Amino acid sequence: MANRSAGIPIICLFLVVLVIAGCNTQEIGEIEEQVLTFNLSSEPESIDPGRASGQPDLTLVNAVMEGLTRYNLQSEIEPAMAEDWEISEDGRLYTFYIRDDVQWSNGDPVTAYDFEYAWKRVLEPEYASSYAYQLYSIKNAAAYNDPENTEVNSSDMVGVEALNETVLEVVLEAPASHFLSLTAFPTFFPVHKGTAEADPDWFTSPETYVNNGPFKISGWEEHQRFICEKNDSYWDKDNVNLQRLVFTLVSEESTALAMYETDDLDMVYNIPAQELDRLKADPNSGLVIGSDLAVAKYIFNITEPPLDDVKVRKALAKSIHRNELVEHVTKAGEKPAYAYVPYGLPDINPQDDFRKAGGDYFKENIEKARELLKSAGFPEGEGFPELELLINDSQDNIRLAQAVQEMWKQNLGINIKVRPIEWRVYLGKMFDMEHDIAAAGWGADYNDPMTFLEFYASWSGNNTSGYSSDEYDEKINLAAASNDPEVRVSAMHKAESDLMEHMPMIPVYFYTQPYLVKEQVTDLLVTSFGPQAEFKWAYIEK
Amino acid sequence: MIYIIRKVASGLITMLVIITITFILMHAIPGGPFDSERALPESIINNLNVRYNLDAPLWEQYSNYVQSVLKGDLGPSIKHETKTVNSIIKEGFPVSFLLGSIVLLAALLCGVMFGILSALNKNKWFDYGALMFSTIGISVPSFVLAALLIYYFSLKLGWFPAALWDGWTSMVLPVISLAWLPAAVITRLMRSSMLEIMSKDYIKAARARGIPTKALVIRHALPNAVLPVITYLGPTAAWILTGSFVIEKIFAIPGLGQWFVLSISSRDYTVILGLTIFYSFILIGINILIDIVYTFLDPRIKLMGTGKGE
Amino acid sequence: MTPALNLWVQERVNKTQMSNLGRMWLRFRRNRAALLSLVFIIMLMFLALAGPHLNHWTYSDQVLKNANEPPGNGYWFGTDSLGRDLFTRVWHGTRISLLIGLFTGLCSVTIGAVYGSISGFVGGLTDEIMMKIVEILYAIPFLFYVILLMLLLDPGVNTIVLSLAVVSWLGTARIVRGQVLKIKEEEYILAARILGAGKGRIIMRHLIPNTMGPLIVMVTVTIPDAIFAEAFLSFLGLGVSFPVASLGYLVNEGIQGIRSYPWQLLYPAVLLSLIILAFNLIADGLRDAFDPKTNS
Repeated sequence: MANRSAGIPIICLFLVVLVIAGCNTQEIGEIEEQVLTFNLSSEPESIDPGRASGQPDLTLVNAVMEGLTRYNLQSEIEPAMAEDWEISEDGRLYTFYIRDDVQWSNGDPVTAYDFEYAWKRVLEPEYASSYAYQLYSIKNAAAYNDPENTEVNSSDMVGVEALNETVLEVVLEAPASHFLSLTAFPTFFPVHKGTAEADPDWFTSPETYVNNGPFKISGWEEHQRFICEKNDSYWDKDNVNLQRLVFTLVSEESTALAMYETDDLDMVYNIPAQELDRLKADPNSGLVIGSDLAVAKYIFNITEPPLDDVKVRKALAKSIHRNELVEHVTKAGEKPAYAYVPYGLPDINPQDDFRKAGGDYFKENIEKARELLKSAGFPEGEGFPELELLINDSQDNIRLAQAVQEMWKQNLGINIKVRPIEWRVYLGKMFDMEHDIAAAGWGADYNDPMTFLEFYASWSGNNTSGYSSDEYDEKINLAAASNDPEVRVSAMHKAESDLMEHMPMIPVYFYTQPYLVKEQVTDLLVTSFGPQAEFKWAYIEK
Repeated sequence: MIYIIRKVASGLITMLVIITITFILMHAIPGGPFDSERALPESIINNLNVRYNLDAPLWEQYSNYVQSVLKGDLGPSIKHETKTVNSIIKEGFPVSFLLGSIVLLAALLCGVMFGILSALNKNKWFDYGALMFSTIGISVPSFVLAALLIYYFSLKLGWFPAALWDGWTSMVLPVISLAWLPAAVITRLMRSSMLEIMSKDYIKAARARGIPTKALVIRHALPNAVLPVITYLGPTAAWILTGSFVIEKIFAIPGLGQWFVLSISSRDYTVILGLTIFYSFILIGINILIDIVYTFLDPRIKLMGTGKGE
Repeated sequence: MTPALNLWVQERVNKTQMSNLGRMWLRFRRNRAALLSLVFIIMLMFLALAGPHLNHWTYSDQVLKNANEPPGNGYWFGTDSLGRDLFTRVWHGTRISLLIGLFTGLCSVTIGAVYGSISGFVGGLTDEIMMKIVEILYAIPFLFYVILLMLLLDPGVNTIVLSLAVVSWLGTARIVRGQVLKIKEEEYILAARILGAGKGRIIMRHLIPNTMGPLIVMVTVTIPDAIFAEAFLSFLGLGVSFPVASLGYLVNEGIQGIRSYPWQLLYPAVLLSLIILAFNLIADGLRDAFDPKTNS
């Protein structure tokens, strides 16, 4: 008896489970017309604006919340929660006037107090926001955020104060020309004071999430999608056209691409480089090569021989065929980089381009490179130690590094060992300066060349090259302290020239952002820093 | 009964050892949860460490952790604000479990059926067909299979969605990719054990008595032939039920599998530990279950006392 | 992946019985599929050694202008995304994969055999503790630990072999212990003991030769498992044995361009599948050869 029936209960158990679980699968409702589906790639780590840090977090928070300012379709700053503002002569005192018709999704008005509360909350040491440093340009913010600093131990000393419901006064440590673009960044977004004080977990479910942006979260399918609806209590709702915005969480790039091609997604980023040729050849693919503010570079550790010799560094810089790399390896219309700061950042006259004004700082020249290497004591690469090129282990990075490795071998006769390692191990090694050469990318945090140049200041925690120059620091200080565009920009040009003279890293190319977007999607702004895209004005053309 | 209690007790000790090993290994790996390409000011790192109690000495973290696990709380996720490890398991496991159950069921049905039919039709066309089928299953990695399936069935034919978890159509491709290997193995196991049993004297005797093949197979041969399959199912079941992360990643299935890899790469310590514990728990549980089923099925093993085994 | 195959492996090995190696070979030869597979693997080993030298490209020579060329035009298997000769790379990858498979197989079986025979031979409390350890390790999520190990150590073939070996010796240990327990009670061992042979001598002279059969099968079975597992690690970005590439890594690279450059997936994937299949057939053949009962 037992022999026969023992397998059956197991099968029955499975069947029961199937039936129960089958009932739970959610169906998305009927598809309306103004719906946009966007792939967020990975699960946001936090959608509390104060702790939002990764790109998925920023993209989602930017769609459902709003700060004092917002980038418009022309990528210019425009008033958002703030109707207007004043900046003092010395550039250190900002007075914002909040609109009086703005409200939270729970009906309460958005006030200057909400901003003051939100900013101070981010700076509280116990709150431990990893993006707190975004606020460090505010007076005493850094000191308050550091619990070891006992001089500033009260949030009252931080330079932000709501004078009344609608007036917010901000005092900065030093003039910061990009402060208005910072206020468009999620860390600067307000939170509803009453809600956040009453329920510290208010942001963990759509029911308790109180927001003030163009969209509101209506559905939240774990590890799969976020569904947002148009927010009818948004002050500028007449300009919001999308009825629904769906964020999917598909992390595998080729799968996301397949979903786009089967019309399950309206827009995807992170297209595998190997697919680009096919997509470029197809005029209906919807491929757009968006501009980006980021540079791909190889950072040297200049504290150890042979890379302590600037001649070696220049030889390496001059012997990479950048055109071949962007044409055959990366393939997304990247521009070869012969200087450090990417195209797209303002010069003295904000209409001019900092890169174009600065021009190229060096050229590829194999002959010259060999000579340099010879004069550094390595004729034909003889006796050159096997250096290690440290890279993060993504597929496209590995391809690029192999291509460069081979170029150095063919052009200079030197062997470089390419070492792909896992992201966090890579970071650890780079920050501990255990690399010889490290492949890295750097993207803008704000719309100013300074976001790139301060990287190599001797005090910068990011500077993992060992480069330390008083002259360079001086120029950076000069540019940082000044409020006069001419002084600032010319100091920054000189700083970049210094950098290219000493070459603590070599620029390889300037990134682009290739993405696919369906033809009918209109007025969707793709941004170069912070969120991936701005959805406020987007609509589906019929 | 005593047998089961002993098993459970030894399972608990095993769990403790596993927690310890994982805890040590995890902290030995370079990199921490708050590393980023932007060098963070030291004060911010300190604040974060204080918040998640990572500034305490390791042994203290360890003992705190074990205590909270004993209370059934696996702690909050360090990287994902909105989640706790318990909530991750609660959300992810049903999905992985559903997927896994379908996969197991499909593999079991296909495998047992193909195996029996192959054995009965030894060296005929069906046998060779099944051999082809199992050959592919055993030799093609599931992620290659998945890529090909998406290419043909989603992109070319448009029959099934390429990813996400919306109703049965979205289950077809991941189930095929995952079930093929176990189905292939079961087919071969089943075939060889059927052949062995069908050549046994008591079967031959039954056949001589004129019992039809169908009844013979179902009544006499199958219960014995299925034993090796059950043994095989144990670890396979645990592995499939908790999620195959490669397949979950490719098809963007919101199960536990994706979290396994994600938590390691983001050094989300609590999630790493919590999932290891959970996985081991399932594994040990299934092993105990298999042991019990086995004793029911095989009258020769009489650990369950007397009576039922005929 | 490995856990999925593991038990199947055990099932096969359990049926294996000690037997005369020569007789076994005679029986193995009669199994056509297995014999063919053996010839195939030997041929592959030869090609893995010679293949990379059959044309003038090395596995790292790149001509970026010729990236993604289809087969023909001086590239027998076409080129990869960096304009490298796929033919050379595939054979070089085969070499790497076979190496990983062989070394992992040998390492894991050696560890398992030593551990299992000590445990079985010494017996008593030692045996109980040693087997308890195996049981604990069994309940550990396998791939989880491989990933952790790979992060802890420097990447490369050695690391992969070590990581895979560390987790795959458990089955061998159990089986060898079982065999040893059985053999220990045989009369000739008792006789040897009475005649005053030392423990070491008994292990070397009697136990190890008599467990050879199952061990050979075990190695054959671990090899495809290791190759398979390495391919999965590649997929997760962990199996890379860079600057050279294993078959698994090539397959993974090929998947990236599956839509536009199918040959980049086709060649390495077919080869990978054939290798895994061949080793499985050999293992089957060996098992049957060792086990006279199923030899019908």
